[in-house]
Amino acid sequence: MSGKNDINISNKMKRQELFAEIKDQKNKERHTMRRQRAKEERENPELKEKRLKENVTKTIDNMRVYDETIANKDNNIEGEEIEVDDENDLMRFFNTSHRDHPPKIFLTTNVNAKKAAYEFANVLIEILPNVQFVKRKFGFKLKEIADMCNKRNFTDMVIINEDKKKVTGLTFMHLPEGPTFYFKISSYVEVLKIAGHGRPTSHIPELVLNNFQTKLGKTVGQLFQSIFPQNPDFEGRQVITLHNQRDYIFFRRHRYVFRDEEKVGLQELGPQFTMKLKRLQRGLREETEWEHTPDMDKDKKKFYL
Amino acid sequence: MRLLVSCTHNGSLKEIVCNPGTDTSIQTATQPLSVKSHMIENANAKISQLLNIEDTLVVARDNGTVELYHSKRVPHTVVSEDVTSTTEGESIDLKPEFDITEFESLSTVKDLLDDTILESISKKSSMRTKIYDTFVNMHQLPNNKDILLLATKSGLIHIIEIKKRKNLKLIKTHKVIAPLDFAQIYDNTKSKSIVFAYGGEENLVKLVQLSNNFKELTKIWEAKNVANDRLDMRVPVWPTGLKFLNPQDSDKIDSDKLNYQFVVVTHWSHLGIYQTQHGRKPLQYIDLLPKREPLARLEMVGDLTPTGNLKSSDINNFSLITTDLKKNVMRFNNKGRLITKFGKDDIVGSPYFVKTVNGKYVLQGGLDRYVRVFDLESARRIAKVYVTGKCNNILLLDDEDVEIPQLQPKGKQSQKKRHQPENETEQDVEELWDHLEENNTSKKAKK
Repeated sequence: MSGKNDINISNKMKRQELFAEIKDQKNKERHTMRRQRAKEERENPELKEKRLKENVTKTIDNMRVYDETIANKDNNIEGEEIEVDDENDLMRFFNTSHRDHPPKIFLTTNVNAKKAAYEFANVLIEILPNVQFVKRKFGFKLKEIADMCNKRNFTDMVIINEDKKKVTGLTFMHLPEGPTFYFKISSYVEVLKIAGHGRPTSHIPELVLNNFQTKLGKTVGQLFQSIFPQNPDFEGRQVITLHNQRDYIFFRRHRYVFRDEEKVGLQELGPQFTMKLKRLQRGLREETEWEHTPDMDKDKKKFYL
Repeated sequence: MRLLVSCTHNGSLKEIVCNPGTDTSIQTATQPLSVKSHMIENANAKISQLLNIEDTLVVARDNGTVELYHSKRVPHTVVSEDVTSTTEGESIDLKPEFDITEFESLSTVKDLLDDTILESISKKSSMRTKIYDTFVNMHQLPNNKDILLLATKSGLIHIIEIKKRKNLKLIKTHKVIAPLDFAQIYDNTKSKSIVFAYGGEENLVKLVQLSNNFKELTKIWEAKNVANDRLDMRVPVWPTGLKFLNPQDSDKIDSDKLNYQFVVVTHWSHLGIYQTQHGRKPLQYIDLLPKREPLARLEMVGDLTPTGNLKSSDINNFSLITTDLKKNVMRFNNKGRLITKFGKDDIVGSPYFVKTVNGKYVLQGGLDRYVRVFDLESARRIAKVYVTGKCNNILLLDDEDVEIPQLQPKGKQSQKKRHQPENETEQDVEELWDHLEENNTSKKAKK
């Protein structure tokens, strides 16, 4: 009890009583203030706008450490350079025109996978477009698998990683030249566990990529762009959202409905899971381009995506 | 310092002018004075080799062209808006004065690469993706500075003449066994013929001699693989970097045999020390890293020749810098002991390019899109600049600092304070020491 109104009462019960009284008073003041403010702002909506503009909450996200790879016109000295440099050199490996080469995905698991991996594969078959699952057999090297996929015109290879009967990781490899992304998978919630979930249709979903800002983040965004066809069936009203927050990528799938001109309804289709980028490698798992290390977690306000 | 950096994303060459202490990842730190792109092309024409010869620059691109540029320094023009004004009303130009290089294309030679040779090789290779042809080396010949020797991954050895510093002319192309990861010219001693070493994936180190008229290329020596390991498995071969040392001293040598000494690092993390007098197998073959993790480059530390060979014949006392494919730039001694790591906790991507310059600096660039300059001895970082693209090759043009004009301090006191230590003479210092000693003795006496 320090500050302006020190309470010097030695009886603990009395002290508590008094403190409760002061607190109650403060709460009441606050509530009346809020009520009044709401009333004023209802009459004059500009005030609310002004208040919200002035009082911005400090969050970990908006206090993030400066990262020069975030394309920002203010911090670039030569304005003309932005356009040229923004184009990523990984871009040329990815499918640029989906009309000519629609994504064709090869899905498999780690060697000696258990039930959890196959269940997750079933889920991914529903999510990913134009996908073919092949049971992983022992005795093939990665290079041989990639060769076989190339001959059959696959554009991407996805490998589910299962450890101790839990799905722990997901590898995305773009064929034939890479790059390779390895994500950690966590917080997997299956469809049946989601209350009020809907049943997905086979329409091509729309894709929402949220908050991929840095150069590395944009590369990850490009990966998802290249995996999903860019001509969604709007009549299916299905959306896949990949929301990046503090380097965790949240996967959600919804169906939307326009109830009237203002209201929109959302129905979750599931599943839910969270991905975290652990490694980005050039080629098919060759030189490391970026790797997450434990000491990167030291700084709570530094984000890489 | 002035750096030329080749960026792979658009095949450009960036000129960076910066002072020590530059760090672009921190907003408040010193920023580079200028970062300017030259010769922008596309990602397929990225620059793999750079060579600066006085006022010309030779550039080898991955589309198989070699270009000659004339470089000219032009004073940097300051944009008028940036002029800072002082409180007294008069505006003083406080912008540092420095030059910027302009490049003028003089001549090109085309079609020097051949991808077809590498097709069968990339099927056998342990690399999982297709290997594309690139230049692995470009150097001036030690006895004729107007002749360039270029080696490609596909095993083509091109000899190119620079005529009157204006024209490039292809004289001769030789073929050696592909694939190549390096081709290192021997320039420790003066001789008429040119000897160079090459090697690559499943391609043991070979020494070849190029005749004086560049018409003949003869193999003079070939290494032999080490004995099988303790499980009787063959040790895989893949030298990725080689540097020569001076030849052995004259009193012990056998004149029938060749006299070369060189150091090799391999993709399977070996450090091999070879003496041609000793035999075809290495004198020492040390594992530098556990689990045979790949090593990519080799740079020697000490007094170096123009092509990077060490000017010393002592194989028991040298140190080297090498990189792996993850994020480490390491300095080892000849026994294979790790001495220092450069850019620990700072580099996040594979350090593709490392070079020691003037026995003072280590230049590093790679997949994490930063160019870094380190102090060689202390491994302290001198500069770190973001270049927006992955970096392939770096050239240090000069290491002079650009003077940054500063405002004259207004108060006389501050000036006085600054001058005080300068006025201090040796006498004063001695007096101070005497005084301190007196104090000490008096304390002891009290006890």
